[in-house]
Order: sequence, then structure tokens, then C-alpha cells
Amino acid sequence: MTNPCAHLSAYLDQQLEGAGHDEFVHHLDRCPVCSARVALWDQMREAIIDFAETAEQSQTTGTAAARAELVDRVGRNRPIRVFTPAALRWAAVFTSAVFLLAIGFIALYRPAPPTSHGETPLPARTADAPTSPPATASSTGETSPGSGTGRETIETAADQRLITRFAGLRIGVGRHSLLEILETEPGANRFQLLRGVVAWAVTPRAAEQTVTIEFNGHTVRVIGTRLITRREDEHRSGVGVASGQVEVVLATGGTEQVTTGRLLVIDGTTTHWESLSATDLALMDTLLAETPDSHQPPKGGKPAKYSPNGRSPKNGTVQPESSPIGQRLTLSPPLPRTVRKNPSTQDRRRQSGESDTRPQGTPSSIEQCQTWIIQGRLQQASTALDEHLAHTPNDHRAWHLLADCRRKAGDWTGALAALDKVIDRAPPRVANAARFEAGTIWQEKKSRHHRAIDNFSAYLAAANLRRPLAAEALLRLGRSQLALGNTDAAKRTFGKVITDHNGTVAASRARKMLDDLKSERHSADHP
Amino acid sequence: MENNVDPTSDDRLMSRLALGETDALGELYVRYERMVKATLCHFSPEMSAADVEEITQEVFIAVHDMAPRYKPQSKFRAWLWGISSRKASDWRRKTWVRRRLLRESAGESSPAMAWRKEQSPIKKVEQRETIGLMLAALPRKQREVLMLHVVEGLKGDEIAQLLNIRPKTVRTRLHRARQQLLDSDLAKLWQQTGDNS
Repeated sequence: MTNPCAHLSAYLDQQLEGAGHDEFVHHLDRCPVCSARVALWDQMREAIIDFAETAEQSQTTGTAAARAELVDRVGRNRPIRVFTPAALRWAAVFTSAVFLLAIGFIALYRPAPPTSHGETPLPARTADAPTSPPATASSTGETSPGSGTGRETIETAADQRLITRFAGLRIGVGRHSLLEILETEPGANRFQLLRGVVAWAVTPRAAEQTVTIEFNGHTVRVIGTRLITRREDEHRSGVGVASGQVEVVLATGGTEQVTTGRLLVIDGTTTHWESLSATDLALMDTLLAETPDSHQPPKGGKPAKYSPNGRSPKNGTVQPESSPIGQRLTLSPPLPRTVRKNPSTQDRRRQSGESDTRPQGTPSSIEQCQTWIIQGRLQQASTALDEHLAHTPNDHRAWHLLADCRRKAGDWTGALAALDKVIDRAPPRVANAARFEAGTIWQEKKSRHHRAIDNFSAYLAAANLRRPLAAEALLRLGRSQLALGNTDAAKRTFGKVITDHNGTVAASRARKMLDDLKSERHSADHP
Repeated sequence: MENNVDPTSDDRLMSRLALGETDALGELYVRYERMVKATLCHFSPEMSAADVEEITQEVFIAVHDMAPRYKPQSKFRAWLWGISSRKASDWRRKTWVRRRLLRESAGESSPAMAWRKEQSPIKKVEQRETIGLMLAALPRKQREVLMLHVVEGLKGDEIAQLLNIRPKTVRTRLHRARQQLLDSDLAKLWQQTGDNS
């Protein structure tokens, strides 16, 4: 018995037996503290027994009438308690679950949901009234006849968003946005984005069928994809793709392929690439999320009922989803066509000896490489890019593609080397995005958290730059700090995510991380 | 074998009750009414006399209802004590709003308060009141285990079986209850009053 005093409780509980008991009794003779506590407890135990006995003795006995009443109560033919409290509780739980399921089912599958939460179903043309001008959905949820030109606008206020469906096309209009519907004919739906952000989900039907979007003088061909279009001002706009592929034919004649996870930013006369940020992805999901107020897709081939402003039409049905692909969508506000760099401009610059900051690679070869990467022909793309970079080593787009290629091939070291080249050569905005990508690889694939912290810190420290992944970068920074054992710094970083980016997915994850840390601390303190 | 069992034993009475002989319940009522009332008063000192009577009846009705499932593997008295403590807890849960509103008046008329004033000598009363306060300061779960152990004389395993908890939990609660009693300031006061008397 190493510390006999520790066995006092076991002795008092009569848990000690045999040698252990005898040893503790010997210990009691020597230890005044233990013996005093045992003596005190003996007294106290006697007092508790006395207390209980006195309390019992002091109780008045019931009258004979009370006893008779009891016998009478139990002697009556009392109903058998089939529904015990426990059974009732389970029945209540079951009923609640069924009720909630029913509510959820109705919310998901009701044909014509009413308007609420400021979300307005978009009017669509009905099959029985193909020539009537479409109604205008305003932010207040009111409809009005369209203008004489047959155009209508969808405008959302700063606290509203809208989602609607056309045949094979789901459109989510973001807050404070303005979308003009120019034409909604089968195979030729045309829209014009005048302000804000719109997310599009095009249902893939067949490989040969495409959706074409004309945007800001550029033409976008869509092959079954989810994309987001943004118009920030008259000069700056962007196309980001969450899945599938988009081909953008610029007004100048150039062609850009926007693939999954890429964002093409058209800024005045220049274009550059960014990774589609988590913020944009979340925004796209939010805008395209089916809500109880959004129009539901038709089931079983039946034409879906169309409900302007939530009212079921008497005769109106949405046109059958016959040919959603091939329709032509126009997202073209009449912006001043600031030509980016047409061949003649380049030729003039080349002749005058001006330096050209634009990547030197020929667009066609770069696009070809990008297509190969999409198709999984990584070796072919890598070889072509290496050859291309041998001639134009400063083409940051090519380095970026090479990084993508190597990343897809699992060559993390090679990808990091290529991203370093991008960071050195690309404009600040692109370089900063590359820092984030590099940090992600250092963290997830190489487990080099010091390097990850360096990259994420550099990404976050970039001033005067748009940092769409700031929340995600902060969260990842905190994780790396945690992995290095710097718990206090990690907690501060997670707290900053929650404070600065409240409401984002990153904030909720940071909150969970903080909770986990607290619970670990708690379990460590109270094993 | 059944003939060897004392016909007036608690287990025998419970067997009779399970067979529908409600007279057995009357016997049990006479035998344990005080104990049940004391337990109710102990766990809910603010319970009025009328409530004590009513809840006591409910306890014995519960005994009647559970008689077919009763297994004579532990002391009947301890089993009944467990039912009483649960009934007292139920009463506290159901009437907490009313008790909050009528706390003062409920305290004046409670039989649990009354018996303390009737006892003598003074020192003994003081000492008993002190131990009552110390017990009242314990969390309900710890108090439950402590009373079953000290007053009813049950061992850890028996308490665990009775309360449907793990034996280790019983030991933990018992240890904490004892520590709190021994280390509380009231323990010194209680000891002083005991020494003076």
C-alpha cells in the first residue's frame, strides 16, 4: 500500500478486505489525520441515522380512513395502463418525426409553392400563350405586364434573391441584381445581365447539345454545367465554372476555355485567371439551392405547373423541356467594348517595341493543353506545356496549367514548383491565388505546416487585393497552427474567422474546431 | 419452499399483492408509511402535509402496480425508499413553479420543518438541524446514495442494482458526498455542538 491515506474512502465503504484491511487498520493507529476523519465520519454516520430515524418517528401515521382509501383505490377496477409514460413519450417522438417528415415531403414536392421570404418565382412563358409578353417579376414579388418590346426584368433588392427554372435551366439571381429577359423561345433564351451576380445550372441532355450564352459581346458555349456570371461594373465581369466546361469567345475573336474550378475575370481590356473561390461556390450553391419557394422540376415527364407569384395558373403550364440545349442566352449589357488585345494591337506593340505584359503563349496551344488536362491526357499536356515554357518561360498561365496538370497527376512537388513560378511571374492577384493553392498542397499533401502557414499568411497579408478565400485561408492557417501545437494561436485564428467572416462555412467550421478544442481541454481537466 | 417463508415478510406480502390480494398493501402501508413520509420530507422539505399524504398514496399505488414485476433480490425497504425518492423528485419537477411562488408559505407549513422544533434537548436539536442542513446541501444523487448506504445499510452493488447505475458510479457519489460532509464548514459547527453537549 504505497499511500495508505488514499484508501480511506475504500475503508469507509467497507471495500477493503483481508491484508489490505489489516494494513489500513495498522495505518490508522499511526496516522492521526485518517483516524480523526474516521472518528468524525463514525459520529456523523450515527447522526445521519439518528436524523433519519427521528424524521421517520416524527411522521404522523395515517388514519384508518387513509389506509382504507388506498386499498379502495387499488382495489377498484383501474384501467390497465397500456400507455405508460415511457410509451407516451415514444409515441410523441414518433408522431413528431412523422409530422416533420410529412412537412418536409410537402415542402419538397408541392407543385406550386407560395411566395414568401421575398423570393419571387420567375414568370415563364406558358405553352398556351406563347405570344403573350412575359410578366415582370419585381423585387416586391409583384408581376406586371411586360413592356411593349416583349422584355422583362428581374430585379432583386439588397436583401432578396430569386430562383427560377426554365426548361433545362435553373437560374439563381443574387442580391441587388438586375437581369433582363430578352427572349425565351425554345432553343433561344436570351438574357442580359445588367447588374449583380447570377448563377446558372444547365441540365445536360446530350453531348452534342449545347447552350450558348452571349455575354458582354463575348459568346459562351456551355456543355451541361453550373456556372456563375458576375458583372461588377461596366468594365469588370467574370465567368466561373463549378462543373463542366464553358467556352468563351471574346469579342476580339479570342477563345478561352473556362473549366471546372476556374474563374475568368474580364477586366476592361485584360483577362486573367483565378481559381473559383469557395465563396463563389458557396454563393452559387446558395443561389441555386432549391427552396420551398422555388419552382420545382417536372416529374415523370409531365409538364410542370407554372405559378406566377405562387398562384397556380388555370391553364398555364411550362413549356415541355424539349430542347433546352442549343438555346441562346444573352448576358450582354451594352457595355463599351473595350477590346482587350486584338492581333492588330499586338502587332503594333510588337513593331513599336512596347513590352507586353500578357502571357506570351499562343492561346490555341494553351487551350489545347487545358482541354487535354480536362480529358485526363496529363502526359500529353505536360509535354506540350514543357515545350511551350521552354520558349516562353514567363507565361504564368502555362505555369498555372502545368501546376494543375502535375497536381492532377499527384506530383505535389512538381505542382509546388510550378506554383512558385506562377507566384514569381503572375500579376499580384493571380500570384496571391497561387499562394493559397500552394498553402493547401503544403498542408494537405506534404504536411509541412510551416510552409503552409507562410503561404496562407502571405495570401492574407496581400493588401489592396481581393481575397475571396480569406475565410478559408484563415481557417487553414488555424489548422496548421494547431497541427504544430500552437493551440493559443490557433484559437485566436479560429476566433478571427468567426468574427470577421460570420455566416460563412469557414466560420461554422472554425466554431466546431473551437468547440472540439474546448471539449478536449475539458476532458483533459476532468478525466 | 414457500411454506418456509415468513408469511408476514415483505416479500411474502408483495407476492400476495401480485396475486391481487390488496389487503397485503394495507399491511405494507402500516409498516412503511412513516418511512415513506420521512423520505418524501427529506427530499422535499417544502412539501405540505396534504401533499405528503397524497404522494405517499401514490407511492403505495406504484408498489401495487409494480408488484408483479417485483424481484425479492434486495431489501424491500430500500426498494420502497427508491420509489419514494423518485416520487419526491417527480413532485419537485411538477411543482417547481408553484413552489417558487409560494416558497415562504410552503416552508412554514411543512411537516419536515415541524418535527425539528418538537425535539429536545436543545443541543440535540441543533446538532440534528445542522446535519439536516449538511445533507440538504448535497446534490440529490449523492444524497440518495449516501442515505441508502448509511441509513438502509446497502452495499455499493446493491445500491447500483437498485438505482440502475454502475457500482463505480455509486462509489464515486458516495466518496464525493462523504468528502463534502467531512470538509464542509457546517461539519466543524456540528462537531462543536456535539463536543459542547
